[in-house]
Amino acid sequence: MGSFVVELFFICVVAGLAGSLLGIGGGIIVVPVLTLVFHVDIRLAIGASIISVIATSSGAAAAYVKEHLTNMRVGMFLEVATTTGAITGAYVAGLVSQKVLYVVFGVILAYSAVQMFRGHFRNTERPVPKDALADRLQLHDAYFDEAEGREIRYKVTHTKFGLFLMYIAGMVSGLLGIGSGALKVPAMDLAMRLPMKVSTATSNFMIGVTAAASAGVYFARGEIDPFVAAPVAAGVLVGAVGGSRVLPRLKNGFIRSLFVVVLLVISIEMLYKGVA
Amino acid sequence: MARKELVDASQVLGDDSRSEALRKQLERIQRAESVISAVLRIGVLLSLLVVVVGVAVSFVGKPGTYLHNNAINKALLTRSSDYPHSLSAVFSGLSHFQGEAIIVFGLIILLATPILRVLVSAVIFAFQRDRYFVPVTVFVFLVLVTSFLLGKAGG
Repeated sequence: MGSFVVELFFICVVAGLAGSLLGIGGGIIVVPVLTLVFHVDIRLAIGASIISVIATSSGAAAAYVKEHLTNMRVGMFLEVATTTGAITGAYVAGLVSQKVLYVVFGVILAYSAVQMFRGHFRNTERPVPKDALADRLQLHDAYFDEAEGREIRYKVTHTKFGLFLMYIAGMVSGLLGIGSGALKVPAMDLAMRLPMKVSTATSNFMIGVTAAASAGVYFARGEIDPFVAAPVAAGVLVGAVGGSRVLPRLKNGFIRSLFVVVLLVISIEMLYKGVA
Repeated sequence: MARKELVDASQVLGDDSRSEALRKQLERIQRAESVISAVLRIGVLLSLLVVVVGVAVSFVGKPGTYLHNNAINKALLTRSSDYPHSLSAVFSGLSHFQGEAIIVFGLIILLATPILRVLVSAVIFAFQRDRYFVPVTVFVFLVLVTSFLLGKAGG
């Protein structure tokens, strides 16, 4: 059964690579692979996906933070909302039907995907509305874009609305145990107007903390199985470190297209779960 | 490497806005970034190392766990309570050099890394007397601690 470890390791390298490029946790790959291919118990698969989220986040963030691709001030400020949202989600979990939630968020994600796709054709130079809160917190920043070979300065806007969206994103991950990155990236890209790569790098920075908030519960319940989690952690870490070397060299437009496709897949997956 | 471009703070600011205050602020941010990046890198490498050692020990010490179809299938299809999932069990397993306990210990290092990152940023912001981000990071840290305590109580 040594093959189980090896196969899972390599699949998780891919999950870590995709997750680190797109600012998502890789749970969309890890959970179906574990349950459908390896027939692992769903609870252990979700436990492993929590490990995958944290590994993707820390593995890639080490590089993104150093390269100044992550906007740490934006990330840390928004973590106030994601962590509180995650706790709220865990508490109201019994009150709302999971099926309804899957449908609601499936629709929201599909809508975000369409908006982000339309963003391709929008004039990217259009003015960013002034935001007093972003000024006061000194959230505006710049990064050096390797793909374009120049420094890109950007202004952050709609900070309060972004905070609200992050609360919702945190709540969803607390409720459904998945999908927090898929909501964070569109919120930063569409509402707060961060450049695409900064959005994915900053989301990547934040998802580890959101996941860590719920990891304790899974661990105490015995849902983090060392033999499942070990190849997941190792594979995802290797993939995420690899992805973090590649992202700076990719174009914002390419990352956005890739993200739109993955977002549509997640949204279909959610809608299916809600209806089936 | 691209990061050399950013070491020069004035480049980020551009020539037009190279004021002393802004330059200082950028230097502060860069110092914080290198510390936080180091925390993440060390956490990740350490956990990876411990997990790999744990897997190796499991293979050598108890080949049945990973090598026999029946054993592994049974372990994966059901939630078993064979492996340690409380801190005391992990540490007692570590003292006996148990593969599972070593893996779980590596996973705990991984889980602790983002939390440690929040704590370290709070300390950095405190040193830098950042009046907005000290409360922000301390709040996030407290929420994380609370969620762990709630998790223990509920789970």
